[in-house]
Amino acid sequence: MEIQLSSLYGQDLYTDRGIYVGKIEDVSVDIREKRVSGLAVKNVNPNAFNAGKRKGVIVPYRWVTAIGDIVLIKHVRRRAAEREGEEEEEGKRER
Amino acid sequence: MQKISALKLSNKRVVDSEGSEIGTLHNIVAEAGTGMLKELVVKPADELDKSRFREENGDIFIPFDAVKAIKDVIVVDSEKLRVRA
Repeated sequence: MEIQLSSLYGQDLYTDRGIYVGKIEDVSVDIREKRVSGLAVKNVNPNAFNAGKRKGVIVPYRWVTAIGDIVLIKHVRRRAAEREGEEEEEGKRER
Repeated sequence: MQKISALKLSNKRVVDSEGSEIGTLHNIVAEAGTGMLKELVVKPADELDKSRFREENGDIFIPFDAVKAIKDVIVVDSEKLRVRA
Protein backbone atom coordinates (compact mmCIF):
# COMPACT_ATOMS: atom_id res chain seq x y z
CA MET A 1 0.00 0.00 0.00
CA GLU A 2 1.17 3.48 -0.79
CA ILE A 3 0.56 6.40 1.50
CA GLN A 4 1.05 10.12 1.20
CA LEU A 5 3.12 11.33 4.10
CA SER A 6 0.80 14.25 4.83
CA SER A 7 -1.99 11.75 5.53
CA LEU A 8 -0.03 10.68 8.62
CA TYR A 9 -0.03 14.09 10.25
CA GLY A 10 -2.46 14.23 13.13
CA GLN A 11 -3.05 10.48 13.16
CA ASP A 12 -3.21 8.64 16.46
CA LEU A 13 -0.50 6.15 17.23
CA TYR A 14 -1.13 3.04 19.32
CA THR A 15 0.94 0.01 20.20
CA ASP A 16 -0.23 -3.38 19.03
CA ARG A 17 -1.40 -4.00 22.57
CA GLY A 18 -3.82 -1.12 22.30
CA ILE A 19 -1.88 1.43 24.34
CA TYR A 20 -2.18 5.01 23.13
CA VAL A 21 1.24 6.46 22.30
CA GLY A 22 0.49 9.92 20.95
CA LYS A 23 -0.31 11.96 17.86
CA ILE A 24 1.88 12.00 14.78
CA GLU A 25 3.12 15.52 14.22
CA ASP A 26 5.78 15.04 11.58
CA VAL A 27 7.58 12.38 9.59
CA SER A 28 11.35 12.12 9.43
CA VAL A 29 12.73 11.01 6.07
CA ASP A 30 16.21 9.77 5.23
CA ILE A 31 17.09 11.29 1.89
CA ARG A 32 20.11 9.12 1.16
CA GLU A 33 18.36 5.88 2.02
CA LYS A 34 15.20 7.12 0.31
CA ARG A 35 13.00 5.94 3.14
CA VAL A 36 10.93 7.09 6.06
CA SER A 37 13.16 6.92 9.13
CA GLY A 38 10.76 7.84 11.91
CA LEU A 39 7.54 9.33 13.14
CA ALA A 40 7.65 12.43 15.31
CA VAL A 41 5.03 12.04 18.02
CA LYS A 42 3.61 14.68 20.34
CA ASN A 43 1.07 14.47 23.18
CA VAL A 44 3.04 11.46 24.31
CA ASN A 45 1.15 9.22 26.72
CA PRO A 46 3.39 9.02 29.80
CA ASN A 47 2.18 5.46 30.42
CA ALA A 48 3.54 4.35 27.05
CA PHE A 49 6.73 6.43 26.80
CA ASN A 50 8.61 8.35 29.38
CA ALA A 51 9.37 11.40 27.29
CA GLY A 52 10.54 13.42 30.29
CA LYS A 53 10.58 17.15 29.57
CA ARG A 54 10.85 16.63 25.84
CA LYS A 55 7.98 17.83 23.70
CA GLY A 56 7.82 14.54 21.85
CA VAL A 57 9.61 11.43 20.73
CA ILE A 58 10.72 10.04 17.39
CA VAL A 59 9.50 6.50 16.88
CA PRO A 60 11.69 4.56 14.41
CA TYR A 61 9.69 3.58 11.36
CA ARG A 62 10.78 -0.05 11.68
CA TRP A 63 8.55 -0.27 14.78
CA VAL A 64 5.48 0.43 12.67
CA THR A 65 3.36 -2.66 12.12
CA ALA A 66 0.23 -1.25 10.48
CA ILE A 67 -1.02 1.96 8.88
CA GLY A 68 -4.73 2.42 8.35
CA ASP A 69 -7.18 4.73 10.06
CA ILE A 70 -4.73 4.71 12.93
CA VAL A 71 -1.08 3.68 13.13
CA LEU A 72 0.17 0.75 15.17
CA ILE A 73 3.69 0.17 16.41
CA LYS A 74 5.28 -2.78 18.12
CA HIS A 75 4.76 -2.76 21.85
CA VAL A 76 8.09 -1.91 23.45
CA ARG A 77 9.12 -2.00 27.03
CA ARG A 78 9.30 1.43 28.50
CA ARG A 79 13.01 1.11 29.17
CA ALA A 80 13.74 0.68 25.49
CA ALA A 81 11.49 3.57 24.63
CA GLU A 82 13.28 5.91 27.00
CA ARG A 83 16.43 5.67 24.95
CA GLU A 84 14.75 7.28 21.95
CA GLY A 85 15.38 10.98 22.35
CA GLU A 86 13.72 13.60 20.24
CA GLU A 87 16.47 14.18 17.73
CA GLU A 88 18.52 11.17 18.67
CA GLU A 89 19.93 9.01 15.92
CA GLU A 90 19.03 5.35 15.79
CA GLY A 91 22.64 4.26 15.75
CA LYS A 92 23.59 5.61 19.16
CA ARG A 93 20.79 4.54 21.37
CA GLU A 94 22.91 3.17 24.18
CA ARG A 95 23.37 5.50 27.11
CA MET B 1 22.82 14.18 8.38
CA GLN B 2 20.44 13.12 5.69
CA LYS B 3 17.37 12.97 7.92
CA ILE B 4 14.89 15.72 7.27
CA SER B 5 11.48 16.62 8.61
CA ALA B 6 8.90 15.95 5.93
CA LEU B 7 6.89 18.93 7.15
CA LYS B 8 9.82 21.25 6.51
CA LEU B 9 10.10 19.91 2.97
CA SER B 10 6.59 20.82 1.94
CA ASN B 11 6.33 23.87 -0.28
CA LYS B 12 10.02 23.63 -1.13
CA ARG B 13 10.80 24.59 -4.72
CA VAL B 14 11.52 21.74 -7.10
CA VAL B 15 13.88 22.43 -10.01
CA ASP B 16 15.44 20.12 -12.57
CA SER B 17 19.18 19.75 -13.10
CA GLU B 18 19.05 22.16 -16.03
CA GLY B 19 17.76 24.84 -13.72
CA SER B 20 14.18 24.92 -14.93
CA GLU B 21 11.52 25.35 -12.33
CA ILE B 22 9.16 22.40 -11.95
CA GLY B 23 7.01 23.52 -9.06
CA THR B 24 6.66 23.26 -5.30
CA LEU B 25 6.61 20.07 -3.26
CA HIS B 26 3.16 19.19 -2.09
CA ASN B 27 3.55 15.72 -0.65
CA ILE B 28 5.66 12.57 -0.67
CA VAL B 29 4.36 9.10 -1.45
CA ALA B 30 5.86 6.20 0.51
CA GLU B 31 5.35 2.45 0.56
CA ALA B 32 3.57 1.81 3.86
CA GLY B 33 5.17 -1.55 4.66
CA THR B 34 8.79 -0.69 4.02
CA GLY B 35 8.76 3.07 4.37
CA MET B 36 10.51 3.41 1.02
CA LEU B 37 9.94 6.81 -0.58
CA LYS B 38 8.32 6.38 -3.98
CA GLU B 39 7.33 9.68 -5.49
CA LEU B 40 7.23 13.40 -5.02
CA VAL B 41 3.85 15.04 -5.43
CA VAL B 42 4.52 18.45 -6.92
CA LYS B 43 2.27 21.40 -7.57
CA PRO B 44 3.48 22.34 -11.04
CA ALA B 45 4.72 25.80 -11.94
CA ASP B 46 2.40 27.66 -14.32
CA GLU B 47 4.70 27.57 -17.32
CA LEU B 48 5.66 23.89 -16.93
CA ASP B 49 5.14 21.45 -19.78
CA LYS B 50 3.28 18.74 -17.92
CA SER B 51 3.21 16.26 -20.80
CA ARG B 52 6.22 14.32 -19.55
CA PHE B 53 4.76 13.78 -16.08
CA ARG B 54 1.99 11.67 -14.64
CA GLU B 55 -0.69 14.08 -13.53
CA GLU B 56 -3.51 13.65 -11.03
CA ASN B 57 -5.83 16.32 -9.66
CA GLY B 58 -3.54 19.04 -10.94
CA ASP B 59 -0.47 17.62 -9.19
CA ILE B 60 2.40 15.92 -10.99
CA PHE B 61 4.29 12.87 -9.75
CA ILE B 62 8.07 12.56 -9.92
CA PRO B 63 9.81 9.27 -9.10
CA PHE B 64 11.94 9.64 -5.98
CA ASP B 65 14.82 7.98 -7.84
CA ALA B 66 15.17 11.14 -9.92
CA VAL B 67 15.92 13.25 -6.83
CA LYS B 68 19.55 14.41 -6.87
CA ALA B 69 19.68 16.79 -3.93
CA ILE B 70 17.50 18.26 -1.25
CA LYS B 71 18.83 21.40 0.38
CA ASP B 72 17.34 24.85 -0.05
CA VAL B 73 15.62 23.54 -3.15
CA ILE B 74 14.93 20.04 -4.43
CA VAL B 75 16.91 19.16 -7.53
CA VAL B 76 15.68 16.37 -9.78
CA ASP B 77 17.69 14.81 -12.59
CA SER B 78 16.34 15.91 -15.98
CA GLU B 79 17.82 12.80 -17.61
CA LYS B 80 15.92 10.45 -15.34
CA LEU B 81 12.71 12.35 -15.94
CA ARG B 82 13.21 11.92 -19.65
CA VAL B 83 13.87 8.18 -19.40
CA ARG B 84 10.54 7.72 -17.71
CA ALA B 85 8.60 9.84 -20.20
